[in-house]
Amino acid sequence: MVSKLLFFSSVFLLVFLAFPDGVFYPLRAGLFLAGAYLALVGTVFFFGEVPRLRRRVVEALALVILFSAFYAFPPLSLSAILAAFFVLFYPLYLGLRHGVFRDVLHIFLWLALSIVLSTGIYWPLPKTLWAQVVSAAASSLVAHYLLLRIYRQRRRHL
Amino acid sequence: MLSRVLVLTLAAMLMAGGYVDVYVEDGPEVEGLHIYAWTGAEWRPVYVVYQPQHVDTYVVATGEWIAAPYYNMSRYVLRIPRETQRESPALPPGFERWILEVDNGTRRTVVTLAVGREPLKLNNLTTVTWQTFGDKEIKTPNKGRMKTPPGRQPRNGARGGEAGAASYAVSTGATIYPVGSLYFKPVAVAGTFSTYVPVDSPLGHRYICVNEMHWVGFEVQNFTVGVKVDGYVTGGYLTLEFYNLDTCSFITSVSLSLPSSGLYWTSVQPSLPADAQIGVRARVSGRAEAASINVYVAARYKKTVNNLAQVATSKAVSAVPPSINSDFGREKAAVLFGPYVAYDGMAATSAGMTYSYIYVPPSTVKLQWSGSYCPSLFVEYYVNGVYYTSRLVGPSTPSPAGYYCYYDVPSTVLQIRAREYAVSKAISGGGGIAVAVVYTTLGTSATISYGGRLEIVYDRWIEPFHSQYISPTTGAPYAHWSSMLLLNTFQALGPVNNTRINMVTEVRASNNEIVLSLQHNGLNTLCGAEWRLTGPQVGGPVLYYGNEWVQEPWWAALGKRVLDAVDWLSLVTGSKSPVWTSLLLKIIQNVFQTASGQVFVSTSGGDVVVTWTRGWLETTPPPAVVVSLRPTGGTTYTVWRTFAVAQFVLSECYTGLGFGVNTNMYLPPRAYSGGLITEAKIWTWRGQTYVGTGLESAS
Repeated sequence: MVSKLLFFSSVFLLVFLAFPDGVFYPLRAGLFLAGAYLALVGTVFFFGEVPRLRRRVVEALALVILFSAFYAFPPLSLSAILAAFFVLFYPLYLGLRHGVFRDVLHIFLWLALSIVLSTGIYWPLPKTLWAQVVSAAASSLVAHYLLLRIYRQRRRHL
Repeated sequence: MLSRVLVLTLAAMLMAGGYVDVYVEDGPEVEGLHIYAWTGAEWRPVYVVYQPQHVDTYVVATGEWIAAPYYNMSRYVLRIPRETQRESPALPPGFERWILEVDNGTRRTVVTLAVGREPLKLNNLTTVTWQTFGDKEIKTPNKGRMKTPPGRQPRNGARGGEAGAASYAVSTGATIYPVGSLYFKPVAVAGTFSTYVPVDSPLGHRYICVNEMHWVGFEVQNFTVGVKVDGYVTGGYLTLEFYNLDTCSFITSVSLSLPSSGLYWTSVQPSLPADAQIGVRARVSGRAEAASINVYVAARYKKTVNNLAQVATSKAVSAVPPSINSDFGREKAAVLFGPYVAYDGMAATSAGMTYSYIYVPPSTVKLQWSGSYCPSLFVEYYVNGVYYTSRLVGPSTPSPAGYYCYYDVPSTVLQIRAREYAVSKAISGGGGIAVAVVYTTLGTSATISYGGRLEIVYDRWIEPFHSQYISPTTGAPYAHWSSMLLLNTFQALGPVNNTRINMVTEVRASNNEIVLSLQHNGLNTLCGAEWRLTGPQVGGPVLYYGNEWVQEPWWAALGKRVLDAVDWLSLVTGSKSPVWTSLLLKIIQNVFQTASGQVFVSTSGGDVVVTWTRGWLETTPPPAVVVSLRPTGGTTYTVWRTFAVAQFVLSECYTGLGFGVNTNMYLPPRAYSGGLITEAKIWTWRGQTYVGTGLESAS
């Protein structure tokens, strides 16, 4: 239940951040990355429990603080690239470590299916950032659900 | 004998100096005329001092109350030489005889005045009637009544009237009379002096043919010359030397005796060839202990519009004023909009109106009233401080409701008169446009609320080129297209107290460049702007802050390169698909891109959308944002649809305040590369049409 709440609240935050026009300055970008991190964690553990939830929230807050620090020391912005890697891969690592993903192939299949689904979902939507957020969140969640069912059925058959 | 009586009478009316003041109310308009009185030996010029009416004025731009002067051009003091005689010899040729009846309460007398459009010339000296807006009302017992020749009806200020469905748009084939400015710097003088007034050129170009020459252009008709003397000058002269720049030859000069002190204007009409490029030098001479002299010149041209590409449009809007409370005891209360930039080249008609449109929004007045019946409300309109028209507005209900009378003052459309516009340019550098509404509140407290923004739109001759659109020499549109010309402009004047955006944005273009610029009041929350144009296709945007090219910091460049290198992630995960990877990379790239100022060009619904965003490194907004674009196609006919500014909300930049501009313009044709463009010169050199043109090559 908490994971579902985490997913929906963070996706809502992302849509909120993506909705207005304009550029992303560090604070908004930091919030966006934090939201994306929690949304990814929420997606990966949507059908289970988020491990050490409080720590995940602290990690998200640390992202916001890091991005806010860019204003004080601009070259620190280069760390944003590492932060993006962290946001993208750490939830996958957590999922692998906690058995949500069976193996690396599962992750690749999830990514591939997400791409296919997101293209389909995004197609009728307005070509805006909020629509991209909705497409990314929905496609990753649906792909995750489908793959988990497939894996579960395969395991039963085996 | 009679003349002796007159001299004695006028001497009795003497005020300081060698002049007698005579107050004329509801007299004929004398702006642009030269008036002389006979002193027994010569015709000497009369000074005209327009009488102010000070009204407590709410200035929309500052939110403050000031006592501002308002003038009616039919209400003035004639400053007549003390030695004026009643009898006069035959009038100089071309002059009319006007009779001034003077009554000082105990005596009546009559003065003959010679009045003409062109000034009198004595030897090398041109004597002119200097006119000024008085700072304070001049008290004089002498009341005058002017009798003009039959056929000339005294014109008082009530001739303005509402413009109704006025059209500001110039049409092809129209003959127009554009008004522009020449810009000179103030000159400090001391002792016996004779010096040329330096030309005010932003590029420091002060040499055409000879030093301190100001380019005037083709087809010039006449000039309104303003002089401001700070200090005291005796025996001073202002000499305007006119040159034919095509041949670098002297044509003629006009030498005017300088007022000893103060701010005055007059008009001069030298005979100049229409088809030659004219230049002018201004020289001041005289004696002074220490003084500063400013020379302002408004030039009026006669042009034929052969192509609408010769015309551009300027627009200005006000902020919506808040509810304005006028205190008890104030007989009149005024609301002042502006002043807005008075761009050079405003097109006027032969009748003295301009191709302009001033929309005064409707207002509601709530007047405290203890009587049984509500009185009517008297509302006057002033443009540049000069009376335009008035109206009487009846109350919404005959009786007060709870001690208040309510009035709905309908919206009004006015036009700028060329006279006030030229005078504004002749008494300050570049001039301005201001609109005031004066409400007679009968000494009670009142609340005035407006239902919208004030709007001013007017058409301008783009530059003082020859009327011919096609050069007979080259057979192509005139070569000046390859120099940078000021096209349409848009101003939004909100409160200047740094709570609201207050800005001027302009479009300039040559045949190979389009430049958008934004200057503003330094509001710290300003973080972006968006121009939307229909017609052209553009590319290659380059951003400048003032004259400086905006460069990205090293770490932003490095970060972007690194992101390019890791773009394989997008390839692997589908760069075109909206998945988390591509989203996050886009956000991070945005952080690097927006570190310094950025400009983007996109298309939306067939429009070109140009967006400037302030970098997050930039702690204050740059005072001048300049976006250079390369035209790549599309049409030259362009509609400037909208302009919007973005402002910070919680440290993030969001597009907020948008304005509908909806003005048309023609961009320079790209087909003409214009290799013969060395003679491009811009008359309005200061800021308004700042360009780097080949001034030096004009000789």
